[in-house]
Amino acid sequence: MVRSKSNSNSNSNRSKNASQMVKKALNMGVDEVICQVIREKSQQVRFSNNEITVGKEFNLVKANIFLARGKKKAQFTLENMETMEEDLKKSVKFLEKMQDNKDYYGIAEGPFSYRERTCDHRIAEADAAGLASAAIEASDAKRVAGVLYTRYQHLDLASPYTEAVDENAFIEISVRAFEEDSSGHAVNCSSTLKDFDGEKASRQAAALAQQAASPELGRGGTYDILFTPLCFATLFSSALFSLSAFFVDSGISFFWGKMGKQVASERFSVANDGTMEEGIFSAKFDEEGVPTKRTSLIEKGVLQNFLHNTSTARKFDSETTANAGIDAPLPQNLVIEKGDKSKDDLLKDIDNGLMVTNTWYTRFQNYMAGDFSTIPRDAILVIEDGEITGSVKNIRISDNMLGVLQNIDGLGDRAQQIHWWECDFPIFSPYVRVRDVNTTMSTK
Amino acid sequence: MRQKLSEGENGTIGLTHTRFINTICTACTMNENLAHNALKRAQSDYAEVRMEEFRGLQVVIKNGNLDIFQLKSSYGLSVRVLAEGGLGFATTNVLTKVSIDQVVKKAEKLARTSAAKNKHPIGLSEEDIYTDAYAVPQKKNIEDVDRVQELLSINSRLESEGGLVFQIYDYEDEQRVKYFVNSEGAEIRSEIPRLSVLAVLTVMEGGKSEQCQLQYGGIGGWETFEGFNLYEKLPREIQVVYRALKEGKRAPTEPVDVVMGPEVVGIAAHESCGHPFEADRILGREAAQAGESFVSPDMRGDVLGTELVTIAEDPTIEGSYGFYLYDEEGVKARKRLLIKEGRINEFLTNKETSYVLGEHSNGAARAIGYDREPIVRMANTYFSAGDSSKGEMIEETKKGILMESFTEWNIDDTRFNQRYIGREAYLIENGEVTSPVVRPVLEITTKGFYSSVEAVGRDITLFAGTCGKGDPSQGAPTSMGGPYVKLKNIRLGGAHG
Repeated sequence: MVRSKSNSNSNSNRSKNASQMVKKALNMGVDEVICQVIREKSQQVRFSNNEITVGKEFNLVKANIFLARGKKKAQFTLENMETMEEDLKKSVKFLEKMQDNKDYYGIAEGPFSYRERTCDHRIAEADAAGLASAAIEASDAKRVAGVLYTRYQHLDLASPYTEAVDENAFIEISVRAFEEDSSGHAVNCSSTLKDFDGEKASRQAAALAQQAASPELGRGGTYDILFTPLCFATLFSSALFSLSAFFVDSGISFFWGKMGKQVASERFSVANDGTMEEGIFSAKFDEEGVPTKRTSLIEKGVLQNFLHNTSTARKFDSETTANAGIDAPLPQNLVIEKGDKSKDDLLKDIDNGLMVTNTWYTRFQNYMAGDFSTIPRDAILVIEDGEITGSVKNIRISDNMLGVLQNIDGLGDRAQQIHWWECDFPIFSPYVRVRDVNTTMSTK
Repeated sequence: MRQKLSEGENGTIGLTHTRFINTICTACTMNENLAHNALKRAQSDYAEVRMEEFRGLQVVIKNGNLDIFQLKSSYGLSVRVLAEGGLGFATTNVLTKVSIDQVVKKAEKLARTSAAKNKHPIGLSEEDIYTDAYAVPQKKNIEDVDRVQELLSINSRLESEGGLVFQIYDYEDEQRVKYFVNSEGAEIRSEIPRLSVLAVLTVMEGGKSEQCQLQYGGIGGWETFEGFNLYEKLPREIQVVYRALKEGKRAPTEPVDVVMGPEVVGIAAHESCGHPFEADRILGREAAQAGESFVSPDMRGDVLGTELVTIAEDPTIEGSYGFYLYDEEGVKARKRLLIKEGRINEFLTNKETSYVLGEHSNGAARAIGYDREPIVRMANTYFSAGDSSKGEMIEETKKGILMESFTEWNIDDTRFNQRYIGREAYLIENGEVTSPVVRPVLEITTKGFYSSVEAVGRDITLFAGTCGKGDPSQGAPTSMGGPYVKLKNIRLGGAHG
């Protein structure tokens, strides 16, 4: 058993909570237990019509407890601190009465060693209202709306095999700028206060809104589309479940039955990386206490790995990728490998296309087949003979996700970290060019 | 949940809810004094404290295996204040005197800091003050039921259905006790037990697959789950999809009439009327996330559809998934008519938006937990009844589509361009339903949709859904529905050029 080296004095006191719960559960006769105590402080400032609409602070202490005896397993999310020990006793009693879970194959047994990580504690006390105001002021659009969010999290994890403590903090802003008949959207996410630039996001959103002014009604059809990092990350985030072994095993994945096969263009590679300092969801360890790492998921278009915890990995005859979720493996940071083209290079090879800067409401007809539609919003720029010549509105992308991945023929040489309301997990994405994307419109 | 309703002559749905405050959750331990203490400490123009205790269970059955069993509990409070024209909101689940004191001070500081940076002060409308308590009873206590076994039994029942390769059930229940007080003297207690199940069923035939995602939800005890009647409904859903996989034809490409079932009518009412009539969208407060609205405040009275179109919103429907009697600002809930006889009539409002609009709140403020800000939400949205019937609509259709239910759907962020793809759909030829149709696509503007309504049925059915909005996200239990509705002269498939 190797303890994290970055514990502060206050952390060691807190870590007793998790380890004490583990000891109590073991004394009650369970075989396996993982307890994670999370202390979280978040700030949020929402703004619209160039003014702050509300300032918020969320303070939360919660415990996630996993218990197993033989093939029986159960989880408990406890946010009632006053009844936590009593709830633990009830939980163990529940476990005794439960059916076996034939898909449960155990938890990680360690021992583990954890790398050093830094946490920018200044984020927790950042002047959120001041930063939001600065972003509003930085915009020359008619009006702006958005949200600035900070989160500090202290995690204290214990199991029979490990005890570990981690701290994470990040700050992000999502800004939407509006002109008379157009809008633009940009985000900025950072794990450090010094690298955060909300004003830049605000200016980017305004520039897009202005570039897309006076949009014409679009026309459905097949287009080559250049997706901005914000847009491609948002689209791809809706497909992340397909990479989790839990959902693959449920038939809720268009990667089902495709391991080792070509599922995307050979230009496309994506990895999960829980270790990168700049990744806002980076962590020392996953929910089992396994040290996070980088795992290639799709390499040159070939499906290499699913996201796994220990149990799903054993079922799939694989190794954990340190992505527990005790039940459903989840990503930390997704990294789409950059290409070698500048944005202008990607543009100039498009004769008849669109640059789509944001999208939302991606829905699947059938998760296994990957048929979907999504609605581009904000600036949709028309590309003719390699030049941006105007903007359109009211189109819908109606295609198949595997088809979109297979038709990628160019990626930008710079990536941006994207995380916002429609992109649940941070994704580092470059510009992505996709050929022959099907679009439709309303018929009446 | 599929709930049959009948509208009375005056257009209201009969209510017989009763107050059963003595049924308050016996396992809950809420100390209401903490909320009063927080309120006393507040020094703002307006303050409210929302306190909640929650207990819940999630069970996931995957192909006959108990995959997830998760107990959840929470207990905490939030303080929202209006100070000097700014709003502040702070939450905690550490319910010590020191912690609560800090939360009150923080909310007030946040409000004043925001106000200092704004040019226009935020206000809240003045509303009637209520002191009340209500609870939804459980005839069969949920906690007395072996819920895992019940779900496994459903799984077993479906195993013999042809073509079924995956069956997933995600079941959740909760008992949520709420206590609301504000500085104006309002005091509301409530307890609502709620349960839902999402079934994801995958059918394969000849290398092709189809999936059904079916949500059922309601309030009350286990009798509500029994009312879902899943032993009959789920096998039918599988049989319908399996038949479409084997025999389904493509939808016609020329314009046809479309008869929509209550499930499709409900999602359309929710997406293209309920959402764009939320006043916070109309006023731009949700612009960066869920978006804005094609509707503006000065459009009340404008024609949006034919005179057959009336869309209602009513949180007070007994047994409904979106049920409440007072909103999260202590405002008494009531029925709202959003579209009345084809004209834009009323928006959904909370105290903040109704202050801007110069009117009273109609009680649409909802929050999914104590730690979420109350924002404008739908509850139960439905297309009001007309005087036709499904049979009459089909008989009068020479060539058309009957779209009973939907799979993929979406709508733009001003709620004007929407799309619904049929899950169970059939051709109508010369007044008769003939062969199944595979995935007909209805892609249409909101104006185009409501202007095409030619006939409206008499019998309303509601369906449960989880409505997404808010940041942090607040998935709210809602229901939506209506009668059968006929649209005339619709080209299916989306425009391609």
